[in-house]
Amino acid sequence: MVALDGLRVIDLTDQQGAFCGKLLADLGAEVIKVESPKGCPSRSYPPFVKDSRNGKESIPFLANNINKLGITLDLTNHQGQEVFLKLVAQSDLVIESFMPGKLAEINLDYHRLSKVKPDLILTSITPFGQSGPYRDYQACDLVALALSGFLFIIGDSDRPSVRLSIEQAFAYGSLHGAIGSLMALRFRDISGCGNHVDVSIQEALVLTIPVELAFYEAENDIARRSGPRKRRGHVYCRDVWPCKDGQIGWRLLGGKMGAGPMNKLVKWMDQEDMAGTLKKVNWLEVDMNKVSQAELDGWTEQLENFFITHSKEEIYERALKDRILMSPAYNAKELLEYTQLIERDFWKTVDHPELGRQILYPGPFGKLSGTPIKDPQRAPHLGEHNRDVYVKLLGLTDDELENLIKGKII
Amino acid sequence: MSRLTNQTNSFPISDIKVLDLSWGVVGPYITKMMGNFGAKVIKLESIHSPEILRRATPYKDNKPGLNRAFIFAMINTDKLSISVNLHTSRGVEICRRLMCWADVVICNFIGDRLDKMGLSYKKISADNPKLIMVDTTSQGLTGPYAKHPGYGYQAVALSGFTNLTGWPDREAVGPVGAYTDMIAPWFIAVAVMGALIHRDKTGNGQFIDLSQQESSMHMLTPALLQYTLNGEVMNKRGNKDDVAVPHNVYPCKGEERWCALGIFNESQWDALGEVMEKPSWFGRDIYSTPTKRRAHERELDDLIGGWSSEYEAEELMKKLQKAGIPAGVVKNVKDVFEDPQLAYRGHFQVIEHPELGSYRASKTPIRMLNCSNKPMCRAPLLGEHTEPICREILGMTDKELAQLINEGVLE
Repeated sequence: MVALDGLRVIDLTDQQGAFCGKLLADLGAEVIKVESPKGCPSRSYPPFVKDSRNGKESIPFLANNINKLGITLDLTNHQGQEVFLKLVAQSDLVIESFMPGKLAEINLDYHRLSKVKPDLILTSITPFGQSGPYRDYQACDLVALALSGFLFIIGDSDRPSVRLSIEQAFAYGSLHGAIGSLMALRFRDISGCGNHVDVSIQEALVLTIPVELAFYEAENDIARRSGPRKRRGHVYCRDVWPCKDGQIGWRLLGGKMGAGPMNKLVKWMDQEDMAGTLKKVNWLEVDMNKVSQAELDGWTEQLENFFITHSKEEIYERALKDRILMSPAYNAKELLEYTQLIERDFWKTVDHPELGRQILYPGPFGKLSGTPIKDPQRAPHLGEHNRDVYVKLLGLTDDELENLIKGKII
Repeated sequence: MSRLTNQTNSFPISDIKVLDLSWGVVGPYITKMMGNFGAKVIKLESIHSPEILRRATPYKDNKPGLNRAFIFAMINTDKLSISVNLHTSRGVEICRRLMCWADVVICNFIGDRLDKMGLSYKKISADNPKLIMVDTTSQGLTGPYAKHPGYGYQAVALSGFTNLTGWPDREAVGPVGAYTDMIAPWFIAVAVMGALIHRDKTGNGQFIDLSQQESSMHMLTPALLQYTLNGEVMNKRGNKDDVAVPHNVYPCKGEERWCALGIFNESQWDALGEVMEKPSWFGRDIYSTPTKRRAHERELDDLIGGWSSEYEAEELMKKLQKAGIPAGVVKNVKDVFEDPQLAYRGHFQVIEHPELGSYRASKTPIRMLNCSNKPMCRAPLLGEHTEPICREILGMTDKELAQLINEGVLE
């Protein structure tokens, strides 16, 4: 049993909105990715799979198009549009991420689509939304992060802002595209009414900085980059601590919540004669809102000196035992080896016959007891499901399909 | 109390009742979003162990107070608050009855806290089989590390974000604060909406175990596949991009003013040349192809940075955008509040609050042609709706109410 049983989605997106269809497919919707006969531009987005046949199998494409069917269709061609509208008539939802106005240009905007299917939902995921002064602005990941306030506060204070090394903006916007699509579907189910859902990636990303927004509202304070030291009220303290073989994530806390674990940590440090002045602190009375930066820097130095003598696994093991809220910073390899994820059966094997092997993929994003999330299936090859969709679903004859292929419409 | 009883279908989930037992950012962010789409949300909290964000700076006028915390106020719009002491058996009974009233329960308990109170999904769903219940924790409810409590700051490290943020020659810095706290809610919202649509059809509720680590890792899938497919472990790489070069953040006129830009193809490169009025270095052979530009990225960044410093960030963004180049001011939080595009979309709503005065809170970034977003209501004061909830939903009499207040069950 899947959550979105019987739901048909047409996915017209490039990399900007591809993750939205992936999420709906995870929930069991039938998601048909429609590409131009030349292929979606995101297929040529590096990095590539090393030993793939043509050397051009895009990893981001594989990631964002899991569990989808793939067909080709020329939407700029009159005959192609006719076929497309037939498909729309049998679908619930269309997702797109063209520049605003592009669908109207080829006469496939919401108005036209809803004539074919009055209760259709069209979800548009774009950098800034369908209207407004930035509507026609170009945005890549970095630019969307910049304009949302997310980028300004990340990085070292003596260098420009730095983004995450894996694109975030489009996936973040696509999450909201999926929520908006599902909200509109439910609204359709209770009201009979279709919808055009308009998601702005910039606006979605503003939701990543509620803390910074709050500090500005309260005190006109403008948060700045501060490296691995992050703002704690009015002082800066590490969230990320270097250790012998990497880093750990941990937030120093005093008071009722922090004193217990802090005392245990200091005890451990003391066993190794490294507790220094930390031993004399009454952690129950430490209020992080009142600590001075100088005092905090003094503690930080001693903690840094201690952590650097231990590996992250040593620290994690001890943290688990003493219930100190500390975790290692893992990379992809370590995540693949992490017991918790193995025990929860997180990794799933996906067949890649073209590579002649099976590949591990991240599995369900959540465990739903009644409608489990679908195990991942490889992203479709170009036009892989043409016959299934055009012949079996739309009822085209083999000759009709042949003609469309000859006419380079499919 | 029209907010409790009003039954209209003008929003996608205005018929849905949500009980929020969660703390911090993740749970409250989902219920805020559900409230924004019309759901009736009750937040059950306690004066004895108040929600962590009610105790988080910044406070109004820097004066601590459970109703004076700004972060709380921003992410707890559209909720009613009941204050109940769950250390009393009658308090637990009130919680149980509200769980039976609800369509959706959101909580973030680790271990067997709910079980011990007799409030497990198994027990409640026997009385309320349509219930959709979410328990979201750092690493999920099963597995050897399930009972290790965790904040977002840890989940960020554990999910792989920390290692992927920073300059290659420096220590990793990690992204914005507890970034996974701002990711997990939206995965949960997707799961809950899927579950609701399924329930509409079948009448069946379900239980959702959502690990914040597992869901957040889906934002890094390309890095995970780069390892499983190619055996390569990705590391932080500053602002380097796989396609675009140049691709960075460049200084502009003024203190801490910057503009980000990326050049993804030859026509954008030519357009950049036009905007820069073809400086003498532009035509040099070492910059003539993307591969060559990649080999000289550092010098190129310096040359562009020297040029960009002559401009106001805003002016530069407009100039570059006009030429078809993706470019944007690296906006600070003040710029975000003043951003013309966000203002056009009405992203921030000014909300009046008895203790905070007025404050601005974020709306959902989702707009729909045929149904509007509900205007947001301010975050509740602690226990503000205890009495009406007890009367109207639990059907209590004045006498019962007075007694429960007297006994410290209701606060």
